[in-house]
Amino acid sequence: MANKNYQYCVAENWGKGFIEHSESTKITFRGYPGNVWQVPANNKFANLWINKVLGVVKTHTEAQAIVDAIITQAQSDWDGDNVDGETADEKNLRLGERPTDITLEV
Amino acid sequence: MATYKEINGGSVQNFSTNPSNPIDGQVWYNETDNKLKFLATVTVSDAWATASAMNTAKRQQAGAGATYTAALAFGGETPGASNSALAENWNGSSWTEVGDLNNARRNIAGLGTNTAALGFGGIISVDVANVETWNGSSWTEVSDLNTARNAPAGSGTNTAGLAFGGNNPPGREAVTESWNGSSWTELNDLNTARLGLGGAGTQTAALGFGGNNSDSTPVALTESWNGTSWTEVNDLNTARYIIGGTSPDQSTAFAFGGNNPSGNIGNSESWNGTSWTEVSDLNTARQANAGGAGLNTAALAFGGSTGSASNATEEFTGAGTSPVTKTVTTT
Repeated sequence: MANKNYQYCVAENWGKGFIEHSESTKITFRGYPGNVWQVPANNKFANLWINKVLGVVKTHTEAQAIVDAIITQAQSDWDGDNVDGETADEKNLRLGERPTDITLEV
Repeated sequence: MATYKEINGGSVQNFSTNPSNPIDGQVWYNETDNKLKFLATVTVSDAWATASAMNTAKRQQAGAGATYTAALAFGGETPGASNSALAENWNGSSWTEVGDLNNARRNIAGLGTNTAALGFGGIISVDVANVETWNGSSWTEVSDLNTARNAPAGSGTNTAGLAFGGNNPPGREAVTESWNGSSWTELNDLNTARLGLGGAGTQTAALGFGGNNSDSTPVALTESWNGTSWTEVNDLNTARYIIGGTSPDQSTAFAFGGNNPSGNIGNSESWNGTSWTEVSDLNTARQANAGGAGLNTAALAFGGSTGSASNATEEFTGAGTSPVTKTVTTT
C-alpha cells in the first residue's frame, strides 16, 4: 500500500479555538469546501487535533467525493448567477473565477 | 565543577508557585511541583488561527482596521447575490452588527479604523462613486469620488485617505484620488491600471499590490506611493487579484488570499519595506476581497469566498519570540 502524506476529516469550524496558533505552528491545515480538512498523516499533533474537533475521519476517496459534490454545485450556481448587463469580466470580479475542480493530495 | 551560585552570583530560589515576572534565563525551584524550572525565550513560527465567525457570510465586502483586535466589515454580497449594507464590528473576540451603510453595494473599498472609516466606490447596479464615512456608530454620505469605480483599493484615514485603481467598464482604472475629509482631488495615476488590488499605508506613503490588469490577467505588481507618484517596487511572490490586504503603515503591509488561474489561494505575504516574504497560508483559501485589518505581525482576515460567501475569520500572528517556562530534565 502506498504511503500517504495526508489524512482527511470532516469537522465544522466553530471559530475561536477550532485551530489554535499553537496547533497551526506544528502542522499545516488546509480547509476545503464541505468542511473537509486536510492534515498530515501519521502525525501525533494531527491526530490530537482531529480528536479535539470531533472530526469524522474520511478516506481520500470519501473526502474527494465530498469536495467534488460541493464544487459541482458551486459551478452550477456560478453558471446560473447572472446579472442583466453584466460583462464576463464583471461577473468574474463579482463572483471570482468559475470555481475550479479541486484534487486532494494523497 | 562550578556551582550555580558561583556562575550566577546567587542561589536558586524556592517558590510555591512559579514567579509572576521571571526574567529570561532565571532558574527557580517549584516546591509544589518539585521541579527545577527556568524561563526561556523561544522562537515562535508565524501562523493563522481560526476566530469567531462573522454573523453574516459575505464576499466582495470591505474592511477597515489598524489592528487585528478592532476591525469593521461592511458592504459586500450575501449568498443569493444580494448587495449588502450590513456592517459588523470586531472587538478582538467577536463580531457585532452595527449601523448599515446608506447604500448597499458590493466591490466596495474601505480604509481607516473601526471607529473612523471610509467606504467608497463599488457596484449598486452600476459602478458608483458614492462615499460614506463611519463615525463609530453610523454612516454619513459625503462627497463622491471623481471617478466611479468598483474594486479599488485604499489607504490612510477617513480624514486623510487615498483611493487608487479599480474598474469602470470597459477598462481598468489607474486613477488615484486623495481625500481631505471633505472632497477628493485627482493625483498621479498608478503605472498599471488594475482592479481587485490590495492597499496599505497612509495618504502620503501607500502600497498597492496584486490585482487584475487590462488583459484580465492576475498580476504580482507592487507599486509604492510617496505622496506624489507611484513607483514600481518588488513583486508579490504569487500573482493574484481580489486579494486581501491591510496595514496602516506602508512598510508593514500584509497580503493574503485571492484568486488566480489555480483557483482560490491561501498564500500570505509580508512586506518589509523592500520585498515580500511568504508566510503561513490561510487555513481556508479564499478570494473575493476578504476583508482585512492589522499589519504583517498581527492581522485579521474575514469573509470572502471559498466558492460561496464565507463568514470565516482567521487571526494571523507573525513569527517572533515568546517567554516560556520550562522544566529542567535530566538525561
